[in-house]
Parts: sequence; structure tokens; C-alpha cells
Amino acid sequence: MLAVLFNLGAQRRGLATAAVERIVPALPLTAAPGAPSFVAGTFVYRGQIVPVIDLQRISSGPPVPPLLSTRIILVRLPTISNAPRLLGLLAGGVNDVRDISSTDADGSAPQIITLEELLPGDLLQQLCDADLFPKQLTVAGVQT
Amino acid sequence: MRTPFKLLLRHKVTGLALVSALTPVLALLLLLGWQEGDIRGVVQNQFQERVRGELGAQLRGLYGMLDTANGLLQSKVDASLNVAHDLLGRAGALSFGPETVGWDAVNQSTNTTTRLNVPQMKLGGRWLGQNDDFTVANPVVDQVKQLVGGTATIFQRINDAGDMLRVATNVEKLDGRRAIGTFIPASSPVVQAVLAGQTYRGPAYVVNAWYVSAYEPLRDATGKVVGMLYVGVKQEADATLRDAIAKTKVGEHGYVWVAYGNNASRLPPFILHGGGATAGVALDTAKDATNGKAVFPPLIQDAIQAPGEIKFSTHTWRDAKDPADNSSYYDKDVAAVYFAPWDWVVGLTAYDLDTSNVRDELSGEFSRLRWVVTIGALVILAAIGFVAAYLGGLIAKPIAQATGVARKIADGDLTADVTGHGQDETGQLLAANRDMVASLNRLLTQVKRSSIELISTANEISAAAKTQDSTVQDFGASTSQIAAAVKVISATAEELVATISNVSDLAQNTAALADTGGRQLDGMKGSMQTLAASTSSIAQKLATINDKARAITTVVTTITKIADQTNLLSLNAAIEAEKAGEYGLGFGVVAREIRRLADQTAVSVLDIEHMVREMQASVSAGVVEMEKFTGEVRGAAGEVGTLGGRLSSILQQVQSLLPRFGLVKEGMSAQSQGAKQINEAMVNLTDGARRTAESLREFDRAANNLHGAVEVLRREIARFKVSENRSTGLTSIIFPKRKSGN
Repeated sequence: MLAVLFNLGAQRRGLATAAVERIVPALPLTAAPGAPSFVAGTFVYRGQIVPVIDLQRISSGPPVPPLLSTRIILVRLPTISNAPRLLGLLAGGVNDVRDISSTDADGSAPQIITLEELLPGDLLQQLCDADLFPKQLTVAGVQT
Repeated sequence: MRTPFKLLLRHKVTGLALVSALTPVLALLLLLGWQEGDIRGVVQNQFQERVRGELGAQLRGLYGMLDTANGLLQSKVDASLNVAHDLLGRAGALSFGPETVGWDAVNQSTNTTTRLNVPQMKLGGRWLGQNDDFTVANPVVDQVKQLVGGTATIFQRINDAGDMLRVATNVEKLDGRRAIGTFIPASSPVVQAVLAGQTYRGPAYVVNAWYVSAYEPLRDATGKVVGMLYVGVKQEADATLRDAIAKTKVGEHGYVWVAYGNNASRLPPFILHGGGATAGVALDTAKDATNGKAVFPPLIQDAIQAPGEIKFSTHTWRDAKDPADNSSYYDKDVAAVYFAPWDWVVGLTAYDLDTSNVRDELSGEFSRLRWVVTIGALVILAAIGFVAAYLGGLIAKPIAQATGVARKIADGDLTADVTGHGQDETGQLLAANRDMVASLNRLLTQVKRSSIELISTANEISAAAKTQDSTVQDFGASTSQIAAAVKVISATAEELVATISNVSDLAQNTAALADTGGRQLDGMKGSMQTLAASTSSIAQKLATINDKARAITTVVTTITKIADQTNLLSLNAAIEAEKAGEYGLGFGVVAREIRRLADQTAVSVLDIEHMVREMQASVSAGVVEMEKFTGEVRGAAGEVGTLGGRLSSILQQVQSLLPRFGLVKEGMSAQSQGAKQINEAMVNLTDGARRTAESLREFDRAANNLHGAVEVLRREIARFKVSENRSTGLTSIIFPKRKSGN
């Protein structure tokens, strides 16, 4: 299984590429006032407003440091409505995609973590309450 | 020595006389003292005998008086008893009626009350009643009192044991009523005697007074004892008896006393006390002042053991008034006798005080005798002493005189005038002394004159030698000092020459060194300047390197960004290839290769960046070091120039100094040589002077020896005092003798 590798705190983790839309550089984000503290901000991806979550802030850790390898993993959220919704996960050390079935040179494979494990149950609900997921796709009036 | 000898001889004579006089006197005094003790003891015993005899006689008188009084009372009791008997007989027979009467009977021993109901006691068919009132007449008992004046009581037997209850009496209680309602228990010796059918006679204690009494049984018609009759007469009914006893006097201070015997525990101890103490004082309060034992109880016990016999005791008494006063101690003799019928102990106390006058008089006589003997002995001793001293003087005087003359001669005084006469041994001794003194005088006068002349000669020689000696010594000392000074100069000059040689060598070395140094410094100066120029060019080159390095850094940053983009691209390419499934597999491999290339690029870029940074740091440090070094090189070049100049000037001075050292050295050597020659001459001179001084000292010692010998001779002769008119020429004999002894 192919997985995108990233740092979660001191650990190295892998996220299956099946749910991954794309990996984008950590662009400057638009601030989202009133959002929970773990929301790093929003940006527009192909006409959609995508909220970005700082993975280390979810567990009340320090924010992800602004390095070159710090990138945003865009994931699809299949549970909400028929149209796929996107969510940005801001994480450090996103510089490799690997087939996890093979072990590393040092004999240890990075641990696979699912999207459900990454995002606690009420997290998406909090995002909905913060009104960060618009009810419908709005193409018009979107900033570049 | 002279005086003690004289006294000693006199003392011996005097002492001998005194000792022979003193011995009998001392013996007499000792005998007197010894005898006095014996005589005193005998007198003391005799006095005690006399006092006790006196006391015994008086006590026997008192005992007789009591016996008589008792006999009288006893006969009175008998009379009363007879009267009572008669009255009872007249009144009729005793009977006990059918009626009973209640009594609160009191046991007189234990004082317990018992409620009783007993038949009425009747006399001639008439009840005796239960009457405690004196205004109401009682039969029989009141009649007895009227007729003979004694006390009478009728007792009724109240049980089989024999307790006797008083039912009728003329005895008055303290409250003025008749003493009835008490009973004597059967255990009493009185009741015991009566129950046995006997008449009891003896002292009885009835309502606080002692009575001479008799108890008689009363019988009924069957002869059984049903009661008893008591009659009694007060023991001291006759007050004159007490007065008579109390008036008994023993000597000036002695007194009489009376105490109870066996009843002492129940009753006031002293019935009577003639010595001023109130009757009733406890017996054991009087204690012996020396051993603290009670005085009276033992004596009383002793007397009770043998009624009618007179017992004695002696004890020491002390007046309590003034405990500090020793004169308040008295010896007392006490005599006592027991009068059994009344249980009285009658005693007499005699004071030693009363007989002490006679004893004191006797003692005074002895003291006087001792004094007379002592004074007489002293007078005799004084007289003998004077006589002995005079005779001793007569014997000792001529011997003392002869001794004095001999002592003067021994001391060397030949002027003593030996006067003496007498035909005895002492006179001859003095005459011999006189002849001897004359001979000695003649001899010694000559010797004395010669020795004086000899001494003056010896003194002159000695003085001359001393003067010469001191002159030579002065000379010797002066030459020694000069020699020492010259030696010091010579040594100093030599040291100086050596020092100057050293200095000269050193100066030459210094000049050579300075020359070499100057040349080397010039070379160094040139090198320095070349070095400064090279340093400047290196610094410029380093600055160029630094600029280049900065340009490299910019390029590296650009490469880094490209690698990053490539990495991202490869990631997304891999994801897309996965989505494409089997069709994307090849594409995925390409994406992975691209990513690896990007990663390698990134790593290389990082290495380059690191190297460039290090190079930049080294270059910067090099630039700074170079600048510092250039500065130092410039400073050193300047200093080297200055140093060269100084060395040149030192070189010149040292070179000009060298010839002068040579001159000084030559002068010094010449001086040292001269000093050595002077020193040798001086040593020779000193040696000569020392030898002269030594021979002079020898001469002086010889002169001193001569002087000392003559001085000894003169002292010896000086001890003798010589009369001038007895001289003879003897000088020529003494002087050669001294000379040969030297």
C-alpha cells in the first residue's frame, strides 16, 4: 500500500494515498476568525475553500515549524454529501511516498495511520459548527 | 669561750647546792598531795554515814508516829464496827421481802451501768429504802455516824457471784448526795474475803478519800452471806498528823515527802511534799542531773520490797532556774521507808549543801598547809642559791684570770700585765705566764723591724718592673695594630686587582657581543619590512575570496528551491500514478527516481552550503589575524631600529673604557706588593716586643712572690703586740731566710 509519510510529533507516520487528493506547498493561508485553535487557516483549491488543520495542534502540541518539508496534504472526506469535500492537513516532514509493505533499511516500517484516527469524531462537527464548510460549491466570487 | 666557762663553773657549784635542797621539798609536796586525796575520801564517807544515820533516825521517828496514828484509827474502826453491829442487832433480823425494787447499778471498777430488779432488803421487816437524800434519815448508818462519827454502808448481795450493791450509806458523794447505787464486783479482794466469811481490814478509797476500814459479812437466818457492812474512819482524819510530818526538817534545806506505794499508778504521786513542790507532782519528773534517771520510782520500789526498812539513795540535783550556773548542782541524799498499812512511802531528802561548810573548811586547811610548805621551800632555796653562788665565785676567779692571760698571748697581745699573787697553784701558774711573756716580747720586736725594711725594698722592685712591663706592652700593642692594618690593606688591594681583571674581561666580551647584535639587528630590520608588504597583499586576496563565497551561497539557495519543487512534484506524481492503478506503475517508478534525484541534489546542496559557510568563516578570521599581524610587524620593525642605535652607542663607550682598566690594575698590584713588605717588617717587630714583655712579666712575678712572702711574715709578726723597750737586733737573721725561700 502506498502511503504519504509525515512527522506527527516525534513519530514518523504514513497516510494511505487512497484518500489523498494532492500534496501542496505550505502556502500563506487566510486566517479563519472564530475557528477552533487547531485550524491554521483556509485557502482556495480549484474553486473550493479548503480549511487547513495543523495536525500537531489537534493534540495541543506546538504548531508545525515553517520548514521546506512542511506541506499541506489535501485529503478527501467521503462521508459528507455526494460531492467530495477537501480538508488540508498541515504536517512536517512530508517528503516521501513509500510502499509500506516493504520495511525500511533499518528494519522498521513507519506506522500507518488512518484518517479516522487522525481526526477525532467531533472534530469535523466542530468544523461544520465553525461554518468552514459551505453548504454548496460556490465557484463565483472566489478569489484566485 | 672565756665567759661561758666562768659561768659554767659557778653554775655547777650553785646547781649542786640547789638540787640537794630542792629534792626533799618536792618529795614533801608530793606526799602531801597524795595524803590529801585519801583524807578527803575518808572525810566524805564519814559525812555520808553521819547524814544517813541522821536521816534514818528521823524516818524511824516518823514511822513510829504513823504506826501510832494507825493504831488509834484502827481501834476507832473497831469501835464503829461494834456500834454498827449492835445497832443492826437491835433493828431486827435481815429479810428480803416479796416486793422488788429497780436499781441502775454502776460497777465501780468498770463504771458500767446495769439495770437490776432485786428484792427489797428489809431490817426487822422494814425496807431500808432507796434513799440518796441526807435530809431523809436512814436507819443504822446515820445512827453510826451520830454515835461514833465514822462512815458506814450496808451492801446487798445482788447475785450468786457475790456482787455487792450499796443500798444504804452515810457517805456523801461530791454532789452532796448519799453514795448508793454502785456495786463492788465479786472479783474484788474485799468481796472475796467477805464471801469467805472473814472480816476484811485495810485501806479503802471511798469518794476521793482514803479510809481505814473494815468490811463484815451480813448473813440471813440460814447463815448465807446476803450482804455486808462497812465502817471506816478517814485516814487523815487528824490533820495535825500531816502538819507534824510536813514540819519535819532535815538540816537547813532538806524536807520530807510522802508518796503512795502500790497505788501510785491510780493516784496523785506526792501526797505531801515539804520541799516546796506541790503535792501531786508526778514522781518521775525529778531526774538525776548527771545521768538523767528518775530519782524516786526506784527508791520507792526498793522501800516497798521491805516494809518498815529504811532505804537510801544519792543523786545529783540541779535547780532549773539557771541552767548556766554550775553552782546550782547539788548532791542529795534521800531516805525512804514504806508504811504498809496505809500504802505510804515516807521519805526524807537531805542536801549535801548543808554539810559542805565543814568539808570546805577542811579543804581550806589542806590548801594552807600546801602553801606554807611551798613558800618555806622557796625561801630556803633562795638562801642556798646565794651562798652557793658566792662560793662558786671564789673558786672560779683565779682560774678565769690565768685563762685570760693565756688567751691574750694566744691572740698575740704580749703587753698584758700579768699580775697575780698567792701561794696556791693558781698563783704559780700566773708567775710562769709572766716569764714567758717577757721572752716572747724580746724576740718578736726584732723580727718586726726587719720585715718592715724588707717589704719596702720588695715594693720598689715590683713597681719598677711593672712600669717597664706596661711600656713594652704598649709598644707591642701599637706594632700589632699597625701590622693588622697593613695586612688588611694588602688583602684589599689584592682583591681589587682580581676584581678589576674580571671587569676588564667582561667589558671586552660585552663589546664583542654588542657588535654582533648590531649587525644581526640590521638584517632583521630588512626582513621585517618585506614581511609587512607580503601581509598586506594576503589580506587583499582574502577579501576577494569572501566575495566569491557570498556569490556561491546565492546559487546554492536557488538550487535548494528547485530541489524542493522537484520533490513535491514527485510526491504528487506518485499519488497520481497510484490512482491510475496498473497503468500508472511505470510512471510511479519514474516519480520515485525523480524524488531520489531531488533528494540527492538537496543533500549535495546542503554540503556545498556548509563548506562555503566554513570557508567564509575562515577567511574572515584570516583577514582579522592578518590585519593584526601587519600592525605588529610594523611596530617590531620600529623597535628593532631603536635597539640597533642603542647597541652602537654602548659599543663605543665600552671600547673607550678598556685601556683605563689596565692602568688601574697596574697601580693596585704595586700597592699590594708594598703592603706585603711592610707587614713582614711589622711581624718581626711585634715578635721582639712580645719577647721583651714576657721576660719583664717573669721579673714582675718574681718581685711579687718576694713581696707576698714578706707580707705573710709581716702579718704573722703583727699579731704580736710588743713593748718597744725590749728590742734586740735580729734583722740579719730573718732577711736571708726569706731570700732562700723565694
